Parts: sequence; structure tokens; C-alpha cells
Amino acid sequence: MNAFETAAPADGLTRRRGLLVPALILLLVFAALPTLLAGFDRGYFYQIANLALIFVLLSASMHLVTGVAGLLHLGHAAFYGVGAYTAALLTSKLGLGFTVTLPLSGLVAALVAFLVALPTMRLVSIYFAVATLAIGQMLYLVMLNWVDFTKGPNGIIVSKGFELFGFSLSGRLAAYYTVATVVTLSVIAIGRLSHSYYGNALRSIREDDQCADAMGVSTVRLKMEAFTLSAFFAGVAGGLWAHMTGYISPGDFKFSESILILAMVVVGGLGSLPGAVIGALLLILLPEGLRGLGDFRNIMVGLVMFLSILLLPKGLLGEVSALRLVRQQLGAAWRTAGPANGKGEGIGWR
Amino acid sequence: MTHLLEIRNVSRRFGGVQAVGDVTAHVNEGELVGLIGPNGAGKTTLFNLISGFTPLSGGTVAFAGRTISGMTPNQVARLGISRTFQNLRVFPNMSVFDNVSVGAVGALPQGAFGALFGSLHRRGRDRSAEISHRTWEALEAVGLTHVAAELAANLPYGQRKYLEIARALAMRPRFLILDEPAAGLNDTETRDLAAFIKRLHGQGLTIMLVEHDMTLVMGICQRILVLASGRKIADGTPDAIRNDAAVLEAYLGVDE
Repeated sequence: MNAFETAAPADGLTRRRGLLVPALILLLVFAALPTLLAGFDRGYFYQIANLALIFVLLSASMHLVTGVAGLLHLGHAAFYGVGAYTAALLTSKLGLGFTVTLPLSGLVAALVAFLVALPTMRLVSIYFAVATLAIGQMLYLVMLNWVDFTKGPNGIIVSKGFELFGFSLSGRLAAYYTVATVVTLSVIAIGRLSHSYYGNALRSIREDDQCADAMGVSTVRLKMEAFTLSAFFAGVAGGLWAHMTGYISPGDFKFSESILILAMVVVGGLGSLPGAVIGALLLILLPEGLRGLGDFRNIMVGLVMFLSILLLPKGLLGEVSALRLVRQQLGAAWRTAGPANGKGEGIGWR
Repeated sequence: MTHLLEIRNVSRRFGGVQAVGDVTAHVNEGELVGLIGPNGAGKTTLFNLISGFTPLSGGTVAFAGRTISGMTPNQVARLGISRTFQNLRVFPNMSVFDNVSVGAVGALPQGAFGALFGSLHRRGRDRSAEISHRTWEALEAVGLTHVAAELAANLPYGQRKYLEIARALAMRPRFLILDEPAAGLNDTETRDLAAFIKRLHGQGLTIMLVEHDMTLVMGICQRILVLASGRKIADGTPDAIRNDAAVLEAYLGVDE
């Protein structure tokens, strides 16, 4: 018995890493980068840094639902939007501050996700992807067309910046630190979720959900949880965005944003949290860095995405190939639709 | 006395095809039972009916005194029935350790809360230690500890078979269902597998196996059920089955 207990890492997980890399990242985010930003002292750089961090959180939250649990999610930006609108409306209508609105942004987004997941979660694979696309569009159209409540295309001005127990944190550096702290804590939480036995149960659903079911994994429940948790973190990102920019409009949360977040996860590698973070940084910083190229920059970004899928099927650090995942999902849809499924209960249901 | 597994008048139709018709059988605690039959006899369907994969058209299945027909596969699994698959279904993009840990975490769930805050309190730490312990124990049982960090897709076929069994064992089942464990193995590998199954059985595990390899089934099983065209045609010791007229007829046809 001792023979194999010593062979095992402390918690038995084989992908446990050292503490050096996380320490270096923390040093970079909380010391080196702010020093650099303060040195340049240009608002534009702060904006880019904050935007990149917010997209790191969006990408990390998508990593949980798509990379780990293997659910192709095409409406993630809508939950980001729900979080942002929650923060904006609570601020403008009730005068609440950031300390209250931020957790509520996450919770409201999670609640909406939970409610829409109830009817959709039993949909199989590609049908689920189509359902998330529809949900994303519906939420976007609500933001756009419910003018009385959301002010529609005019957007909402968020009058309050970051604050903590009454102390304003809306200075450039303070705002950066606020965003960095919230994003770092959230990414650590997502890391704990995905690098745990719980995460392994989610992965098993991605790999083969019927087989996971036979191993005692409650697949429908875990999918719901992954979807809801991921929406929570997207909502938190939305709350950050609302208080950071001071103005939000539906255009920030449309379908193309969902695809951008999906691209980050795919370029970084499905199933890898560091991959999702790197993917987000790449797809936010690259277009900014290429501003000199004018309109060509979007072509360059597209080229990077295209080449990464072509040359790196598993992304930079991924566990599973994106094309394989999609093919598997189409295959699953095909299987369940065919006569081989003894249940014979309508196409695409399980 | 109640049996560990009690199958009563179970049937299943797929459209016009009667895959399993009115089968009644049982498995006692501690038994090693074989299930054989010609191709298309309904063996795998019967396994799927027991493990909750396919809903029943009629009849009931009870396990340890509880009716399990109508339960989802994961509910059945958590009651202590664990299975492997005919066409080898490991999780290819996960490490060997992670594959097996899914069996352990399936039987002993760790929730999102446990994943987030488990290391902060004693119960959470004990839970992950227990999952880890069961995982290593199952890997040890099949002799795959040395490849624990390897990706499952990279293992050779024979080892993936054992990986699948390890994953099932990590659930610490009361009843293990093996669906054609020897398919695709050569004679030596099959002999090793037979010895391994016997060893598991010797440790007190109740096992049911579907197998085409007659020497394997006849060699290790205490009792054999024979299905043909979805019906049970014989149930007895290997010796009795070998000389059973109905079985010979089903396998070889009738000499007119």
C-alpha cells in the first residue's frame, strides 16, 4: 500500500505543478505590469490592460464549460451582457455601488443561465450548441429592444466606478488593481474547479457522456453546474466591464463576441486553463498591436486563428482537438437520431 | 433468500424486433456467472437493461432487494453495479490516472463546492484522499500504476482493456458486469485475463461476463446462462451447458 502512496503526488492528481510559475505570474500582474503602466502613464494602455484581463476571465469561464465539460457554447457573450446590465441597472436605478453590484452581476447571470439550462440541458451535443446560439441571440435582442428597461441601443451610463466600502478605486492604477484582483481570484477558482476530481468528472462528460453516466457521474446535473458556474464568472466579467467603461450598450454582447471568446479558448487549446488565458491575451493584444496595419489587422487576426486551427489542432496547450470535438458532437447527434438508439424518443434528445 | 440481482420476465423490443423476450434469471452474491449465446442473441441488450442504458419494455430488475428498472445509468452505478463496454470506451484525452479517478469520483462524488473549498476543511480533504486512494488501488489491481500519467489514447489495446476494468473497479462495485472482456486479445492475453477475473472473484466480487471465447467462460464461470434469439434457453453449470441439447442446437443448428 505504501508503495503506491509514495508514488502519488500529494492529492493524487497527476497534473499538479510547482508554485514557481504561479508566483511569477502574480508578480507580473501585480507588480511588473502596474509599474510599467504607471511609467507610461497613458490611459490607453490601462484600457487595454483592463480589457485584456476581462477577456481572460471570459475565456477562462468558457474554458470551464466548453474546454472541460465539452459543451459547445455559442452564446457566452450574452451572459457577460446580463452581468454588465445587472451592474448598470442596479447602479442607475437603485444607486448601488460596485461592492454590491459585482456579486449580483455574477448571481443574476448564473440564475438566467440556470433557467435557460433547465429545458436545454438534455439536448444532445450539436443541438445544444444551436440552442445556446438562440439563447444568446434572445438575450441580446432583449437588451436591444426592451427600450423602457435597458434603454435599448442607446446604452446605459454607469455613473459609479470601482469602490470598496466607500473608498473610490476609480483612479487608473486603482481600477487596474481592482480588475486584476477580481480576475485573478476568479481564474484561481476556475482553476480549482477544472483541476480537481470534479473537473475530471466534467472531462469524462466531454470524452464520452454515456460512459461517464455508467461510472456514476450524473451527467445532466454536472452539465447544468458547469453551464451555470461559467455564466457566473461571465457575469462577474460583465460587472467589471460596466464599472470600468462607465457606459455599456448591446453591441458589446452580440454573437460575434461569443465567437471571439470561443476563438480564444480554441486557439489556446480546449481543456487547458493556461491555454484559455494565453488565447485571450493573444486575441486582445494582437489586434491592438497591429493597429499600424489599419484594416489589414483583422485579416492578420483571422489568419492567426485559421493557422492555429490548421497547424495546431489542439490549440497551443489543449487536451482535445476542436475539430474532433465538433465531429464527435455531430456524430453523437447522428447516433441518437438513428435507429440504433433504442429509446427512439425524438431526434437529439437524451 | 433474495438474490443479489433478480431479473424477472424482462423484455425489450426495438420496433418489430424482440431483442430480449421474457427472460428471468438471477445472480447470487459472490457468484461468477457467464452469459453466452450466438450473435444477436440479446446479451448486450440484457446488460444494457440491467445497467439502465436501455429502458425495459416489460418486467423488472432488482438489485440487492431494490427495484432498479427505471433508474438512470448513474443511479444504477451508484448502487454498486459497474460495467465495461463491448467496444472499449476509455476517455482518450485524459491520463490513465484521471480515467480511473472518474470511476472513484462517480461512486464518491466531489461537488463544485468540494472542488473549490475542499482543501480548506477536513471532510473535503478526506474525500479527495479517499478518491485518490481508490484510484491508486484500482490501478494497482490491474498493474497500471507505472503508466498512470500517460494519456489513455497512447496505451496499447491490451492495457486499455485493463484500464477500463480499473475504472470500473475504482467504483468499488458490488457487482461487476464485463461485456466481452477478451474480445481482440490473443490466447496468452486471454489466459492472463481469465486468471485476473478469477482473482477478482476470489476477493469476493460478484461478476457477470458476456463472452464469445468458450474456453474462457467454461474455464472460470460457476454458472452459465445461455440466450438465443432473446430467450433464455439454458442455465446451469459449465458441464451441464456443454451437454445441453438446446444449447447445441442454438450454436450448431439441428441435424435434420
